[in-house]
Amino acid sequence: MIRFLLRRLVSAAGIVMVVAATVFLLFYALPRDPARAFCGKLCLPENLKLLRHEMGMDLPIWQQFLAWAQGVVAGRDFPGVGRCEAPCFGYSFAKGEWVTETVLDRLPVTVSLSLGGAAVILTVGIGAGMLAAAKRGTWIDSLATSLSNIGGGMQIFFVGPLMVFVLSDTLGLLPRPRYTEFGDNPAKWFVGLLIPWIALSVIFYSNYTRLTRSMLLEQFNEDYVRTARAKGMSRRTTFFRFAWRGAMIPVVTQFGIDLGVLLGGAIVTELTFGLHGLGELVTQAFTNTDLPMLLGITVLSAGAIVLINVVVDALYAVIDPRVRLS
Amino acid sequence: MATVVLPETAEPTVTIGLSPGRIAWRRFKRNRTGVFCFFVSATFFIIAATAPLISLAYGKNAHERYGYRLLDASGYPPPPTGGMSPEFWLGIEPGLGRDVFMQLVFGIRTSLAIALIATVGLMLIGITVGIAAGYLGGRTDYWAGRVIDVLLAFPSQLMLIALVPVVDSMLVGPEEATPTWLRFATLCIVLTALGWAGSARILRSQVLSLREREFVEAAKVSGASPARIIFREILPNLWSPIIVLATWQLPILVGVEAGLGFLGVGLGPDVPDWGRMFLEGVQYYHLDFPYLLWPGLAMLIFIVCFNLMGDAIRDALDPKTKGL
Amino acid sequence: MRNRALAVLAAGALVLAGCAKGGGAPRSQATQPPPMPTATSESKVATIRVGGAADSQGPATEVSGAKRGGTITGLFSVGPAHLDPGQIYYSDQSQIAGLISRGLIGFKQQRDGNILIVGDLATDTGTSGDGGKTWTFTLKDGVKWEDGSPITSEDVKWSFERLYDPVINQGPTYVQQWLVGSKDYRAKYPGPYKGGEGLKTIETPDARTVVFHLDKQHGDFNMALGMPGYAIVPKKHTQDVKDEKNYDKRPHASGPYRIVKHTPDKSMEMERNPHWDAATDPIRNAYPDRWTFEFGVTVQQATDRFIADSGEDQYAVNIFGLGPERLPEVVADPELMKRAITGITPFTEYWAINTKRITDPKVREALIKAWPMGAIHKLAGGDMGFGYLGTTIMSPTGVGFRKFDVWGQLDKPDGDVEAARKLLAEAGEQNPTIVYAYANRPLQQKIAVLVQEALTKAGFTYVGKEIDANSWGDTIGQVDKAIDVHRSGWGADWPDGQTVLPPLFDGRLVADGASNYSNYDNPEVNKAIDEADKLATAEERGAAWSKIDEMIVKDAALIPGFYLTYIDMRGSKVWAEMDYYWGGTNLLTAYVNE
Repeated sequence: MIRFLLRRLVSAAGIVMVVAATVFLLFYALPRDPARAFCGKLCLPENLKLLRHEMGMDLPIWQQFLAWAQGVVAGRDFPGVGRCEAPCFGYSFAKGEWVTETVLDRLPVTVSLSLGGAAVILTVGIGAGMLAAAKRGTWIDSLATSLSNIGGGMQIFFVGPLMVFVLSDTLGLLPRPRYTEFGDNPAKWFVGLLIPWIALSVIFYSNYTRLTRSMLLEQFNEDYVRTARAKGMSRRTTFFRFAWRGAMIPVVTQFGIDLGVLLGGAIVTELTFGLHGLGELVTQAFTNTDLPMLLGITVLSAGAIVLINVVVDALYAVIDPRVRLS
Repeated sequence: MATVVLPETAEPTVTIGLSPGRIAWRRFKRNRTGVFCFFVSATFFIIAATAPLISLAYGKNAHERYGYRLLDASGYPPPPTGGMSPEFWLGIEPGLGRDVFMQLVFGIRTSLAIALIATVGLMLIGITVGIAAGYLGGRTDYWAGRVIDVLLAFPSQLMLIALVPVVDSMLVGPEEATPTWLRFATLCIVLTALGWAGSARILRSQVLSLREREFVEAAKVSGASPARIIFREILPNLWSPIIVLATWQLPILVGVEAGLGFLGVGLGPDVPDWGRMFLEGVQYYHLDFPYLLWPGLAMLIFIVCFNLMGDAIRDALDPKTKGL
Repeated sequence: MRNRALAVLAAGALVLAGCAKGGGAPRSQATQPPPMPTATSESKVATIRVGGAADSQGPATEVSGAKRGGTITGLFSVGPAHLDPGQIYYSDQSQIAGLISRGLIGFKQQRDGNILIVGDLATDTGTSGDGGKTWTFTLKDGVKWEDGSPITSEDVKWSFERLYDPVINQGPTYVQQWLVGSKDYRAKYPGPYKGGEGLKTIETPDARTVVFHLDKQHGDFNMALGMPGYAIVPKKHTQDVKDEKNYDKRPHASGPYRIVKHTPDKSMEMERNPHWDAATDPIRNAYPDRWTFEFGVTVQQATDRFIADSGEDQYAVNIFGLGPERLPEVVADPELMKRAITGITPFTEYWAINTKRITDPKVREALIKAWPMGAIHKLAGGDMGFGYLGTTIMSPTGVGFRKFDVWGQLDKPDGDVEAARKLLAEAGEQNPTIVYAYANRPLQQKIAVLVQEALTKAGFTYVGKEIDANSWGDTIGQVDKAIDVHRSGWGADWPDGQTVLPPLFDGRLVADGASNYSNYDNPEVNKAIDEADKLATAEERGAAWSKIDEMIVKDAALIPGFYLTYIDMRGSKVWAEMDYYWGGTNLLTAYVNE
């Protein structure tokens, strides 16, 4: 297990580096000049030259990338700005802030949004799936299945504003989405994110309902479960002893992917609800031609996606001991 | 994006004497939801394909501002129906005053065209890479695998936003005027380039298992060329996963294209676009709800039906999951 | 400070789905009395006049019913890109900076809405000698920095010297040029950071007196000093040029508030500056104890929050205007209109015609005749949401404004296709090609749809050219641009035509990166500009500028567009009024009203 994890982590780091290099190259393909972008209204040649030097843009691209990578591992000095300790993701000239600090400042918003959303999605999705499987063939089953189908056809920027309009502006049931630090006021944190979470779950839960339902039904038909039932074990016991393990594998796979999508898709979600997380930060970085910020966030999200995959693979082994890690 | 539960590779051993395709077709026909949704989805494609004819019959086109005079001083159509009338079936577009029905019809045409082209493109790349990696194995497989790893690790929305201006600038120099086809082509290219990895990975694993089957072994032993094995033995057995993957991809791409419109990197207002209507509807819906409702409802129906049709196809291709 | 063309663009660029600022109340529709004169009534234009020593004394006139205390929240679509006074030019930055920084001169909005130019840190609006070549200012007693140390003439001299360093490159440049008598002012004096002597043209006879020696007569020098870009900074806290990036985020306060925490583009908190003495300040009421700002709230989201008016949003204000899509909803509801803040702004929008490429005046005239002004007006939000149809270059808020309609645009707002076709025929041009450039922002893209339709109908060959909003300013600033027509906007830096007409239409200022977007060079106009600039009183100057305005419009160097209006809302537990000088919500007089 440990050897497996180590090997996967090393390859994950490799993937993240390649992603970083790709974004770096891509950025140079953009028809814009980052130094010119921050030089401002009265950009004197002297300003431009100084900025290029401060941004490290007077070096060849590959050296710039190496300097960036070195900063992440060992820290880096920025002329005109100061020393940046590892892990240093650079200095944002657009904001006049260290990238690492800014990202850490925004991270809690995106994490709360994604993980909280994921929790709601799982609860609603698996719950509805279990219900549908247990009441198979009844109207409850049909209802759960149809609702999940409809949810799957929705888009966050359609459901989101509608929910805000109906739930908070018109009915006043919930406050408008707003982020409060968990540490400041857990209750406010929870209530403020409730609408985004529900909106996300409307869209994402359908897969879990479907997966849970079909996998459970499949498991109920498996020989070992039938044997257990025949031996007089109650349905409930068979479910909690055996059936869930088999049913969980595809759910975990799906969850791993969706978590990545939630993190990577934070852009639209945050813009829809006006939350100031990494998604908003990255759009600002893109429109401002803010390479260090863009790179930092991309690497972070890519790292998260890759890590989630490793965790999912490891979870397979935990859930189902028959799975061997290779 | 969601995962797709793939059918087991179709067994080539069928006793009754019917081809697997015919058996699947028979099963599909028995699924009433699936058949209904097939017709609904097909209707959307027919609308898209015949949009100019519909325009002729309806007597209006998508770019003239017929309803401009009916807008109020702030550019809103008459409430509460958003200007719906026998003349304007689905109302008038706020601001510019174009006909919403025509916007929707031509918007569906644009969006479905992009999604369809991108689906075909990414399936072609996915099939090629998947077969190459799975069949050739070794180094090809290794490097294809790494490229796929990297692509799947990209934060998808961010890369889409970043790639659109890059591809735009590669297609047309900064000094030239921007032709309307440009963004259309860019969107197709970007969606294809970022979308093929998932399909390639799934198809590769299918090819891997096929490669070990007796009938492939037999073909190899009998001295068949690799091309023959790929095209005559492996590809025919990949059709069901390919169809399932494609039906799963298309509605996702329709949604992604709409998302790009929302982020402001989609098509401009001179080209009718389903995704952008949606987005503008979100801005105007407080006082002009129908303008959001029609594109929203149409997209909901399309995606739900297309998904249900996809499910039905999968069930038909893979009897094991039938009836669950 | 007030080039709205760039300000709007900068704002839009930061917010993907962002919207331009602008709004206002059409007198015909609004249920309330007009807060300001309309574009069409010449009778009462907001008077801006220079006040004396008595007007410059603090404290500011109380707003009736106002209370001290509490916290007001700003829901802003973008955060201030700069707060170091030397770097401030745009109106959003200027409005926020007004809470933190003070200059020698300030613009005081009186209770009747008229503007007085008064001494802020200075005891009066300055004493001029040599007919406007020498200016003397005396600092008030008891003005202090946030650390309690006194603001001295040394600080004032330093504040102007540091503007010559290349690091300071975002703010206004008038005074720098006047002090050394050169457009290339950095070549004359390199700034204080590289060592060497200070600027000889600023003298500090004692700790409270500053004397400026200008290159020639500048009767409006004191108005120029009112720009927040010329606010004073403390010498001891800006000694190290390497600290500029940090100082720009958190400047040292001389005004009523100091910054507690500023996370760029996300949030900012300000608390009272204990060393600010209300008795020295004629401009700022500074009623709330604290300010918090949330940045990155799109105008539409802000509007929705104002309409919902729940929780902390009841204490909110905004300076970026209402989301245009929500406007009819607000206007239709008298309850919401009670919380609306509206008025005309000093900003105008027009379309520059590249006279280097379209040399035939008849073709330019045909463009004006064909232009779909009315449709654009309706699309952008009408009188209330966007602005009034305008026919001049100068805004009605400028001193000396006079209404004229050379091309009959008000009679035929939707254009006159026949007239345009006829003009083209007279010019002997068969379907001339017009390259229309626009930024890739939703509103501009839609306007392009209207322009394409109108020009095609009038017999032009339309070629659209979409430009990335990030490179918009650079692209249109090129002299040799492959563009015939594009949108532009302007706002006077101070209410004298000098800050409008020469930058936009003086033929000697045609250069890359300059703002004569029409590449317009007419010797007669150039001469008239020089004549007007020699006049001394504001009224004489105003009349002369207005005549030049008409000359340029008659020459069809531009398509006159709109006088922008402003409409915004406030939360139910805060009171705020229109700031006529900046064309936004007045932050200096707002108070918490529970």
